[in-house]
Amino acid sequence: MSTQEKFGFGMNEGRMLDLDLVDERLNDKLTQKVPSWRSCLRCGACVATCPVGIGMLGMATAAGINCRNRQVTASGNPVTVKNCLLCGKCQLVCPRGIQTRLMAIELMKEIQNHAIAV
Amino acid sequence: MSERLKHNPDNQSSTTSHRVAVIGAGPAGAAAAQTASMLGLAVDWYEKETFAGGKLNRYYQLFPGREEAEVVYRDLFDPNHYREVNKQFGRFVTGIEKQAGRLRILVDESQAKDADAVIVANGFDFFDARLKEEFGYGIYPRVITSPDLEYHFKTDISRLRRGEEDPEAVAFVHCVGSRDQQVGVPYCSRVCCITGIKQAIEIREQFPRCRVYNFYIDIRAYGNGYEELYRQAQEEYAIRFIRGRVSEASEDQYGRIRVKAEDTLLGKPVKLTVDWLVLLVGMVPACPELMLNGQSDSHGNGRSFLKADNPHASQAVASCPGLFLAGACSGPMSIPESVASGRSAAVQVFEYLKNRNSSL
Repeated sequence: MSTQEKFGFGMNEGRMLDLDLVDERLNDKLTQKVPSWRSCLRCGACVATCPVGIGMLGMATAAGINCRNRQVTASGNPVTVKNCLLCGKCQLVCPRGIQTRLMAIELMKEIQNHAIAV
Repeated sequence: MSERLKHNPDNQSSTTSHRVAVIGAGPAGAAAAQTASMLGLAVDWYEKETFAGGKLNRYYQLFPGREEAEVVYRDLFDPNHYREVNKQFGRFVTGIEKQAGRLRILVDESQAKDADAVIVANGFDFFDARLKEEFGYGIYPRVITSPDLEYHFKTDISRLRRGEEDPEAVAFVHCVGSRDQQVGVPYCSRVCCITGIKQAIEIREQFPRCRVYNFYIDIRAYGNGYEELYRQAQEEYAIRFIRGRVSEASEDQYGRIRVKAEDTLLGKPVKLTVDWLVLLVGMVPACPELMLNGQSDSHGNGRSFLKADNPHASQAVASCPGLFLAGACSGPMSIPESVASGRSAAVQVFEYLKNRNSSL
């Protein structure tokens, strides 16, 4: 065992999201293109059906609530969208008929434009 | 059944000698009194206030269609839609007694009046939000309840401004005094979810730049058109629904309300400062004095909703012969449900008195 053994506890970065510090710009931009995105119920059907395991649900939450607050986007939720096959299964299973495929495309564009930190 | 209905017009006069007491003049009581009088029964109509309408008088718009609350009393309280009704408004019914097969209504402590049948429609009370101390109702002036907000909309919504400025953020807390064992309210009040959705939309219409958050446990939008309104709130009005219960509210140095909650879908704690925190209060049973002995087993504050004898067969017939229930005295109900329940109770009183007559 190393002599450099760490002490039993340390300081973690705060996890709390501060909704007062929201930045609405990205959210507004995305929901303008895909208005149905706002009606996400967070049911998880899209995540369960995704062949490459993209957390569309996390992205919905991120877009709906916290995209404006870079904390969530920086923690990586939308990043996985790069693996998207654009198969559209998520759109087929969505009970609210959200255009998830279009949203994936828009998210990819934002990543390319560096609007979302990767 | 069909034969009996056929004979109704001829037999109507035989029931007019019967007196029916209706207790309460909210939507359920009005529907019961109206229907009973139109069926030819003599109605004694009791109401503790001097006017009809109950809590409806303080409502602004109705869910899910957003009609003005007045539409309910336009028809329900129209005197042309009544026959023999003896209005006893401004009189408080303190109890109901059963004596030698008849029921007696005890009024204003000393007086009593006989009745052949009684329709209890004394409604409900709003949950006292002060019991949930962590939300600060009654402590912080910017924490209000859903009926408070409804009344502001009805009278003067500009009270929500600070000076000339519109509110920047408003949050709604669902299930205050519903589904909460801590305060003895184990049941769901059913209508608060849709009330919160409706009021959130109204806030956005009134103050378009205001951000609106709804903190919910789960959304129970059960009625016709409710889910559509929920979706509309999300899509058209961009209202944010955050799944998680507000754990506490406190006042900041400017008198705004700081809210802490867990976003259980993100798995992260959130905090938020709002101009107004609106508590969607549940429905609790109204005055306990009205209960007949042995009618109810109470929970919580010693009060209980009244129970139908066989709720699967009829929501209106209580276990005591001659006693009928209408509206939210038997449990949380929306206005259309209360009205339907009031009409149903009146029809069943009519049936009951006719059957009793023929058996004598």
